[in-house]
Amino acid sequence: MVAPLSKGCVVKLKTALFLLISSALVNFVAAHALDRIGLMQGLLAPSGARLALLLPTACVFYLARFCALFVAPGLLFGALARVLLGRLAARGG
Amino acid sequence: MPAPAIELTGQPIGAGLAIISPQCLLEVSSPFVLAMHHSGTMKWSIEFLLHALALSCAALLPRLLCGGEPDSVALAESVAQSVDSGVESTSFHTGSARFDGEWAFGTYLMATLGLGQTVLAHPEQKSRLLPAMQQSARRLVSDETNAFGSAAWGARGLSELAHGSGHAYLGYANLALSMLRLVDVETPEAALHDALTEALASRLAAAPHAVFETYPGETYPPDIAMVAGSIALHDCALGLPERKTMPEWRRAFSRYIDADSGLLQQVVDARSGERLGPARGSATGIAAYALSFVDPALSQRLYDGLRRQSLNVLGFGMIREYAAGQPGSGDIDSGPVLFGVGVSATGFALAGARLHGDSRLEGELYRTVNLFGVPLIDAHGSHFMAGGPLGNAILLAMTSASFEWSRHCRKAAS
Repeated sequence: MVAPLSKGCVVKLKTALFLLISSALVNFVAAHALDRIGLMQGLLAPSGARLALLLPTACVFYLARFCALFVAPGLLFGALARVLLGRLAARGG
Repeated sequence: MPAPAIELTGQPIGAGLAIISPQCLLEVSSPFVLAMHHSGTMKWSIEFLLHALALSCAALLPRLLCGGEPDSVALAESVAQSVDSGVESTSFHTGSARFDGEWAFGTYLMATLGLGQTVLAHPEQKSRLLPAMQQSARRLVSDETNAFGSAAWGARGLSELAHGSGHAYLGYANLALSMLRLVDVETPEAALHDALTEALASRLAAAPHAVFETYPGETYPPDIAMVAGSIALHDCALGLPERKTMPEWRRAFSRYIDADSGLLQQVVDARSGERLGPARGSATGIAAYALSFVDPALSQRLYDGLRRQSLNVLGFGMIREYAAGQPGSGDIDSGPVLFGVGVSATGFALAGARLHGDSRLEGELYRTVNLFGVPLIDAHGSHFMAGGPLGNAILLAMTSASFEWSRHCRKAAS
């Protein structure tokens, strides 16, 4: 008999998938928004309103980009492995 | 019957995969683990393997997603468009009129070089890119773009070529004109190019310590590398032999390479040849590129210094601005310096890696450019979102650098 897989050591598949899709989407949309606003020009020619829009958008964008590249795929991989191995274990048990 | 507990004290492992703790992965591989759990050695082996698996996934995925080859033609199209739109010193607000001017100057310089290198590598693009290259060169030598240098000297550098001194920043403009001349020998800028080259060559020959001033009281060896590169490329474009003073200049100039770090001095005293301040990655990177037109071996030597200062984090390459263990902050030349890594040094090193066949470091550096620069496809080609006109022009010049120019030198008249 095998141990049941614990819930909570990895995120659920749906959560992982949501995180990957949402971070990829924010990455895509914010990249184009920052391109339209002009990230570099805005930082080099800072004006109050423009900077107030640019800085938070840039922070959110880079957070989403790092999440989409470094975090979300790993979570998805873990969730998938949990599901697949869980099924294998259940079949073996 | 409940499953036997298997205790592991794994800590979260970096980035996203940290969430997959060893405990968890032991549980998901439970059929295998159950058979082996009585063996302590096996338990630790599994823990080690799970750590390795988690880390290798976190390390491999981003490097795969950010990899790829630069598309210099697509980037050139976008840079050509930004040249067409025009870039002025008023586009920048660094807090210094000189630096604002330098950045506009740098944009046209790098655009001309990058467009020229793209045309040399892709001759079928010449009819599309040459007009932008010509326009970029015209703007580069305009009074408006050179106003920062004129303000520093109190005189227009391009007006006093025969009897002037200093103005080493004109070496950058001259390298761009040399590239234009190589691509378009009949360029309307040819007379100015010849006069500027001779003026710079005579100032270089007269320099007692192989360097002369960029601004009054300020001497930068990387600027002098540009002067030398521009003269060599001019002579290549016209089929002229190497100047007699160049071998001695190369020997004298190499004294500014720091023996310990392999990096080039950023600032020296033109009158005494004394080194002022530390050797720098950004200075070394741009000089390695410029000297590729003069002496590939000297360029390689500088690149070797850069490589010694390289870092690799999960497959992403970076270059230190200051030698390892040496503190220092960022400035207008280096760009931001974060954890010792220089933005300019990392970007400029791309050219050295390409020129000297270091495809491993080139790939690593390009991943970093992709990660932070964010490539986007646009109506004209492609560009880096975070680059702006200057950043994109620099990346075009650096990612299209090659020795292709040497195949286009005119044959020396017999």
